[in-house]
Amino acid sequence: MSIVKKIPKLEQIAPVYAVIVMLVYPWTIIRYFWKLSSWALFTSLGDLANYFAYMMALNFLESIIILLAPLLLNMILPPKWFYDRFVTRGVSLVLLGLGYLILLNRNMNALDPFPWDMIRLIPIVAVVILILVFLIDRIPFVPRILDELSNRALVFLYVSIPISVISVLVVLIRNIY
Amino acid sequence: MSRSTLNRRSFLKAAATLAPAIALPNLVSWLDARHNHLQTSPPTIIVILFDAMSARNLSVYGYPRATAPNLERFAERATVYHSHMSGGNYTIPGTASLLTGTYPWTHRAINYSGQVKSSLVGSNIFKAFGDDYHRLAWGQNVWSQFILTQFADDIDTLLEPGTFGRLSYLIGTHFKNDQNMAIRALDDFIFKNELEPASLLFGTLERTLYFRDSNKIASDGYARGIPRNVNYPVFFRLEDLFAGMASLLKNLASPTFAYLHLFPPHAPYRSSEKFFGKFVDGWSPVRKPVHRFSDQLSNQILKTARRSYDEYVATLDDQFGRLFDFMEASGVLENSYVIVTSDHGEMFERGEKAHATPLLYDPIVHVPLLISAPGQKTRRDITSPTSAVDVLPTLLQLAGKPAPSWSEGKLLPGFGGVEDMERSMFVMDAKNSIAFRPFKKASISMRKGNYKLIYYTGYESDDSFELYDLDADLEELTDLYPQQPAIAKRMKEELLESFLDANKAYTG
Repeated sequence: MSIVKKIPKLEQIAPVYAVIVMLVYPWTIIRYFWKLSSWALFTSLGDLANYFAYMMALNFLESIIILLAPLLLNMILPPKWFYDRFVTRGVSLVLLGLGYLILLNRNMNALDPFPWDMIRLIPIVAVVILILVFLIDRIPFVPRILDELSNRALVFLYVSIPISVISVLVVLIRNIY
Repeated sequence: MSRSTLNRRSFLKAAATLAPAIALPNLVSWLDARHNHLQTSPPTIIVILFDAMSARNLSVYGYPRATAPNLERFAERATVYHSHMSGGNYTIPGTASLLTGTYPWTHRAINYSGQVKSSLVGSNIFKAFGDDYHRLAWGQNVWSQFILTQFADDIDTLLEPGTFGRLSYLIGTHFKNDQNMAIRALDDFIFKNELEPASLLFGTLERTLYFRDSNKIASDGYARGIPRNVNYPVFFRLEDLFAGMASLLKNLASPTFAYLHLFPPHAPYRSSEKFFGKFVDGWSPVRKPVHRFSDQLSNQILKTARRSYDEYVATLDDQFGRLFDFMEASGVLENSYVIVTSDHGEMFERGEKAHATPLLYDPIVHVPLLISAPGQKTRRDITSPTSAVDVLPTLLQLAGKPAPSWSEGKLLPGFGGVEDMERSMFVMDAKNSIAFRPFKKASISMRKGNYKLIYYTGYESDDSFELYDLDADLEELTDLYPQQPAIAKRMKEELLESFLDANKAYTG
């Protein structure tokens, strides 16, 4: 199979990307709403929109980079291993990977010691995640659940993509002029 | 034929006669030119601001611990203001008052991470100095950088908080055309240190790299680790900062207005080993009653924190001594006005530590102000109360510029102003109020002569007042509010009138 043919179709990529968006964007948006009460004391609506633009632009970039992980794996591995089950395996990969990232992130606060142990575990966790990705869809009901989840998550893209594009433009314009 | 020859003796004689004849007029004209240059060309003005430096903890102001011997040396060739008050009780309002010459109720930079109201952004000291000055600013405290980046259009050289530091993971500073918004959105929100990062991938990555790199920084010579910015990933060594400042001052264009806002001695207090334990001396400050609006910290905690602070101040002063020697040797002090001040003080009493408090007692609001004029060799002391808002019109006057109408300050005594014991000056904390609405929750201190009235509104169901006579009771132990009704009434009326005036523009 040629490299070009191994590139997944848009309808395969979109559900995986939707799951990434579903996790990455709200992580920042929730914090935005936490901060809103203190910003509201001194910030204009225009500035609140600008904070939001920076946030969305950053999330957009993050989500694209995270999407590269299943795409890269897909290019490296034989089609039977990944391409043929791109949505199921891609979704399980990003769910498990982002799950660990969430765990790591939650432990990075100012009060507790830095979670070096969790950082050192990353290579092992990565191997475990890879193994799980290849095992998990052997459980009969899992592929159906992952497909359902990713299809339902697609709705987020209708909101996130236009807002992200506008946000990137806002950030670019603010930094050019 | 006899030949007249110039022997060695007659040559030396002739040279001895001719040399002064040739050189003296040159020397005189050089001195004249230099004098005229100093008289006619605008002077370079350098403001060195130490964040959170309370005058009450400095030996130059009579503190019993020898925290500032080098500031004492500097004071010997400066005008020393003994009752100088900040505009606010933390970086945002304090810095904004200094740089706009207005009180917090006017500039409205009153909240944590707050900013000067947009209509006043054009009314700042850098703009007032004008294009004929090279305007240089450095906000090592990220919050001071919030204010400085608002004035970025009027600053020729704006240094980043990480300048002269060992490590900076600030991201917003790379967005040169939109630094204010980028620092706020990225460094003060998404990547801010106090909580877990608000970005899953980049935040986690940034935090990991930052912790990895910060662990690699050598902390030799610093007993508690090297100094750092609180809440933001900026590490520095004091000796680097001052060496950097010396090289900066050496190469200043003439004339320059330089505003150098240093982070130390702001917490965390990281004294060098040389001063660590220096003040384990058995000395204790006057014990004061715990205030109901304080954090109710124990006396032991306050005592330990005060000692750490004093040791950090002494460390800072030691480095300032090196800069002072450099400025003396290099002629900077001969050619420039050098101003040493702070944006607010620090307190360790009444159950409260540091400065995030509504309590506007003297240690919080009394800040150093020392001004060394070009070539000044003797000390001058000014005891009448002065305010941070006075610095802007005074510096402009030194530069030969008119005091702007928007400034609420007056010329400082000793530099064109008069000692005015009847003038009222204000310090304000309103961090929990909305910047574009009338103040609902605030504390305000009003200084008039030797009296000081503190007003708390919005903290309890009823407003409350405290009155002190600072001449008789510098430690503010005896509340005269019930005992001196006439003075209390007069000052209360004036304070409330000013407060209502400030609120008027924002009411309905």
